[in-house]
Amino acid sequence: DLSTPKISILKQSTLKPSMKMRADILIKPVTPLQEIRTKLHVSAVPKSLPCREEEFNNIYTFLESKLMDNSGGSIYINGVPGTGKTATVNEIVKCLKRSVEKGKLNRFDFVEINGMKLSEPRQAYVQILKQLSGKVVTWEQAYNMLEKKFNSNAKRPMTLLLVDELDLLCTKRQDVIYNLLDWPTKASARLVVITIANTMDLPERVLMGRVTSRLGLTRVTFEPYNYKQLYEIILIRLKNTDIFENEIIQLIARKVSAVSGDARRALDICRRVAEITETRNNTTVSVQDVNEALSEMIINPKVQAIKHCSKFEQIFLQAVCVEVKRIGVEEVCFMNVYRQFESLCSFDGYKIPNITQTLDICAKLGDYRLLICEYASNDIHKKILLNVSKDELHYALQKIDFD
Amino acid sequence: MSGKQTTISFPIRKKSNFYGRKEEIKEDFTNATAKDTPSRYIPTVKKIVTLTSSESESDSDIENTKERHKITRETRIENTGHTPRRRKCDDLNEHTPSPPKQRRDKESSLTPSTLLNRLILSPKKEGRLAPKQLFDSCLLEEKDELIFKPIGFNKYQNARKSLHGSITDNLPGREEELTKLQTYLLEHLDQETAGSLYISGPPGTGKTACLFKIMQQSDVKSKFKVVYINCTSMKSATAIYAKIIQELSIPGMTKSGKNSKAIIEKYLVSKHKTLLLVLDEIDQLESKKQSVLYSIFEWPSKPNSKLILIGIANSLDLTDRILPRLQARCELKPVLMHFAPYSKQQIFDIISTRLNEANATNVFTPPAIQFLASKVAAISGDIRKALDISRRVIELASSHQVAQVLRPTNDNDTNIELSKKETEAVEKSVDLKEVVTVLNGVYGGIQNLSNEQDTFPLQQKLLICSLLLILNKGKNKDITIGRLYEVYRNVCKKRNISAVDTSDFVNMCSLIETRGILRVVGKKEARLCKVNLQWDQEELDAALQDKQMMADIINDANCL
Repeated sequence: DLSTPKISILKQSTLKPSMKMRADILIKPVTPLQEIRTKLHVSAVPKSLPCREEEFNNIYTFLESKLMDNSGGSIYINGVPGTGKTATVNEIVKCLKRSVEKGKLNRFDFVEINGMKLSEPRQAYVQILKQLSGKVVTWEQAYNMLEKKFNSNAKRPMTLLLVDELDLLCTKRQDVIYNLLDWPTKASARLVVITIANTMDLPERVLMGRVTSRLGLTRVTFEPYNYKQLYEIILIRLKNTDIFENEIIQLIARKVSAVSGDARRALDICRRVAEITETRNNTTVSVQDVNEALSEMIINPKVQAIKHCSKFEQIFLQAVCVEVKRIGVEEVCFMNVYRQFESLCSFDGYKIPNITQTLDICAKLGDYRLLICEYASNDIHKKILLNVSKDELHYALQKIDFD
Repeated sequence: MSGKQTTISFPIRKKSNFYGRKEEIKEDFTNATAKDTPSRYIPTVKKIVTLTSSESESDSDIENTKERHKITRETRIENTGHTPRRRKCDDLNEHTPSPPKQRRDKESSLTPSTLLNRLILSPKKEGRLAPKQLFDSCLLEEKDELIFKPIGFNKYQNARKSLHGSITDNLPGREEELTKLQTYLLEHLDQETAGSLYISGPPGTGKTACLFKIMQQSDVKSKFKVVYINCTSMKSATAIYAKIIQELSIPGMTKSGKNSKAIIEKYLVSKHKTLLLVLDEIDQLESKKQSVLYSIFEWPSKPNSKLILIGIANSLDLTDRILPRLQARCELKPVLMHFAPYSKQQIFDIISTRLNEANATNVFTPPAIQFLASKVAAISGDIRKALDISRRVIELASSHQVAQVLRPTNDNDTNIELSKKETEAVEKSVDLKEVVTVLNGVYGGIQNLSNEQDTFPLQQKLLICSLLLILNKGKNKDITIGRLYEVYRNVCKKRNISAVDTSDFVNMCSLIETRGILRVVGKKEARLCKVNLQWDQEELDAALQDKQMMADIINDANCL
């Protein structure tokens, strides 16, 4: 019976996990705006990756030469998030597979693990073995089998191993990383390890000397995209449409490249812009839509939170601010704040809440993360820190005074 | 997948023809064209027999897929992600003791899962197979030679191949250490005494390679029982005992492993060949009381034990630092042996012998190797790095030669081919220029950042400048993210740039941290994290490439 697969069958992976199918057929995008939105989605990786030709060439020649020589090796790829590291590597592997099909290269196996998807670094062995042979065993068995496989001189195809998020495999002993990088140094292993991480100086900062030595000096850095590159990336996705004007794309590219150079963010903003345009029933994007999307993304939730606090909470925040100004130290004591609070309340003509109520207010603001309250059990002696900048606080409260 | 499932019917046949048709298949296949093969190779299914156990089910899978395995080898590459199960069959053959064969004949089975798996071998996929790919192993190798050899850059390829980083037998530059090791071993063998040896040295100085070479020698192989264990593969320090027992194949191992130490000790005093126990990366066995390391280093001094223990690690003073009690008794003290980092001349020798072996001497000019060797020797003396750099240099040279314009598009393969043909004839040796390029890329550090195009985001520049401002003009050098943010806001306000909000700011700090410019020392609250600058101002000058703005901000004390 298919509905109750045995665990042992699953472990042998003779049964594949299946997902429930939709009852209805997925509706295809109708309007050009909807079509654009699917094209702008982060998951829709284009066939050619613009602005990464140099890195592509670099890694491609490295991997191709390794596959041609039948020798092992490792390469370290780094760069901040959203700069196209994984996409480039996947594209390269696709290209290599294509040239295998054409008979230019020998066949190779491709295995992919992601440090983020492992519950524990040693599960990497299990995943690798699962992808190589389809069996699920404990990590110790998996390690022994892999060790035996890579040490045996049997005629095997080359294996490409892609390790994404390498920094998450670092433990105190670093045994997993060591083993993954030690296998390629054996002539019989025929293994090429591609490691990807964010940190540029990870090998020097975190890894042990012997691991760094095995990692080698073949490194590729993906720099953040500058505005021209982001512009080109968005333009390629929006080929053959005039919904987005050039100036608008430029604006988005410049805004994103000024902060992080993350392509994902740029695409997300574009998609949001398209959504806003759609709700307004326009067909082309206007600058107004872009501004709205940007302000939505850049909006400061803390200012909003302060604006929507109750009167006493706002006065309490002000009291903290006054107290900080008075003593000149960021960390203030609840007792002193309460004194300020009392006077501020009487200025405004409110009935002063008692200490218990004020502590309540303080705890609530602490939960909002507008304040940082240390040592909750210390009651009136507890220390309070402001978690918003003073400017933001003034800005939020001024508005209310004017209203 | 589900779409395919419904369309195919399953011919049921008896299993007896299955083996009988094997040869026939091969013959047909060589002559067949891609189009008419599918009808032949629709996977067939055996008679249904009730399933007795999950094991037997998987056995039957092997049986069914074994023949097909050869055929589908080529196609499998495309489906790597989707059909891990098919792989299983060749790995099963290699690694796990496969169940006895008779059982397969007795029990064969058909379950929904086996049925499902057969469905994957739909005619469409089989149809893609070119007939000649059937005998991949032999054919492809021939092709290898046919395709790659005539194209003019096999010299580069040879050189690249010869500079591999794996263990070799030829170890120039380590003759002294090798003879030392050999005399040590033979002395102890002749006198039938036990001894321990601790080999230290920085990574990449050939410690393991030397021992491997000695372990390969025939007289060592015949006179010793050699056990090599890499300690990184241990789950915990105490697991080493079980591993040793397994390697020595001593019977009488209990499951709990409680008395495994006692078993080894009993074995050591019993009569046997002299045991050569090599423990690589021995510092992985460190534990709280060092009980494991102590007991291992005490084995040679046991009466009648014939054990030569060799420990390998990186730190020079491991035995003094974590095993001070061994100093108390002279017979326990391990003999120390240090592998010094390779000198310039040694690196030069290694690279040139490697190139000589591959008949690719003129790939490198001698000054280029000299320069490379002196640079690596000055920095680390790590031969892995030297080989890596020289490989990189050759890769760079060959890619220059080919001058390929690779664009990540569908037709990139044809691109390579074209460019290969164009520049086929040119083949010159690598000179200093290429070496300098690679070395600068590797050891340059900051130079890497200062490319022509400016990739440092503006807001990150402002952040760093604000940090420099606090460090230069501020009284309190203890900088938290909260304080930095206030200053940054002031800076932004003054320059009429809209500032990012706090959460983005914290994010930006971590982005800069990945470049190694900052270090954010974490506490729980992001606002209270301390920010430490890791580079000095000149380095930042080079990285930011915006001296005008930097100078303006750094000297603007009003923003504090």
